[in-house]
Amino acid sequence: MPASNSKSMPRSASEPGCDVTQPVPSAPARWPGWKTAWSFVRGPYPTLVSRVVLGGVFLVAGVSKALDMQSFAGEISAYQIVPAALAQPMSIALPLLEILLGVYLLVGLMQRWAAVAAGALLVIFIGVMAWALAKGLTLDCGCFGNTLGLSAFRDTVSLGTIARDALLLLLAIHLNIVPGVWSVDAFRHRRAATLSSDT
Amino acid sequence: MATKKTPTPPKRRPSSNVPTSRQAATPHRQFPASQSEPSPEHQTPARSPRRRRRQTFGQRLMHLSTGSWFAIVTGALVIGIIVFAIIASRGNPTGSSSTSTGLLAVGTPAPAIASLPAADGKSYSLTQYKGQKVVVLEFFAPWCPHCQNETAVLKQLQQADGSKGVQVLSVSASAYGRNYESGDQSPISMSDVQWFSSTFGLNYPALFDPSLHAANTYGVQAFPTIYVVNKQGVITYAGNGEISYASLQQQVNAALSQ
Repeated sequence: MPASNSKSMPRSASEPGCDVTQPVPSAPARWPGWKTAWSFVRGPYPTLVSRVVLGGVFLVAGVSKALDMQSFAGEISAYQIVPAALAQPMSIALPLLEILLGVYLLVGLMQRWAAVAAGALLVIFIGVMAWALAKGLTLDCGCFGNTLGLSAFRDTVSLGTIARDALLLLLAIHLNIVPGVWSVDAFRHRRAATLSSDT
Repeated sequence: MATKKTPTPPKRRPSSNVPTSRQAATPHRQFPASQSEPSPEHQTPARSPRRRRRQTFGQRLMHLSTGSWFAIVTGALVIGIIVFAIIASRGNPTGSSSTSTGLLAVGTPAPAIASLPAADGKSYSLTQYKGQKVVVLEFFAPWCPHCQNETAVLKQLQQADGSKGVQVLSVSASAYGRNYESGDQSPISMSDVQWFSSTFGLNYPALFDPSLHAANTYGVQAFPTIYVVNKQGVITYAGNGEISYASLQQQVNAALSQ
């Protein structure tokens, strides 16, 4: 009942029942500056690292695949998941979509949605590689194509490649949760705020 | 005695814009069903005629925010990429004889494999078994753990069905040697094939194909890749990855019965 609530819960410190002299419990002492460090980590600046790493990986992987789509089609087929009719269009569409995502992430345009799309792609990649491992397939993961001299990244599907994609997935989640800085999105929001304050 | 009448205020019907308790309890009864539009008192503050006028599609486009424009352009780009991919892939279809895995299709003649040196010092070719034996053709890499696992199945098959007219042949299909998994990218050599043969105790020939011609001809993209070729030289099974002994024997029995 509202009446009883108003009796038991004083609305201001001037009302009887509010003990303003009671000391406020303080946070346990930790190493100095931990709050500042934690707030920095949760802040927008670390998203720069996530954006550059995730966007760079998508951009490089997309360009490398796009330069040799024919062999990428073979790599898709080797997974034995996609029907033959789809392998060819996928070998064209996937690199272009990765390039698009990479550019969006690097410049920070529609960051949250780009991160969702990147995360969805990474979840699919992880699932497909786990499936290949479970099936007893040894094959080139096709993650970085065959061009651009990326032979160091040409590796067979393994727990290591799955872990690498899982790490990238964490970056995508980070970019989805925390808004970016020094990005097109931030510039747009700042401009919109300036315009609304002027009016 | 004249009684003094106090003037009573005229009885007023409750104002329509002050809801009674009943109206407040049942807001959906505020307007009778016969009343198509609420009375002027119920209307929200009047909009300007300019605002009330329905906007055309072009006007709506003009008033879209920048974010909406970005979303529209992005959506158009994604759709454009997908449409382009579909159209471009129509002009560049995969080979008609290949399956969804990129392998040669079941029912097609098995391409000839030139005579290749084996770990046991002899040379073998696919054609030498045509008309005589069902051939289980495995493409392997010495560094591939799944290929190493598969040797147990192939050895068992050779042991059990060798006398029934079945021959297992393994052909190297990787450009790299046995230590590729640990980062060594040195090219494959006969010593790698011999190591594979002796380490896993193969009871069938392991052929050395440094040119990878056979692997490319058979569309090998993953290890192990296994074909079953019947006595007529026609492919009856093609698959990637490890295969169980029971499944492989089933395929071999089907090929033997043809």
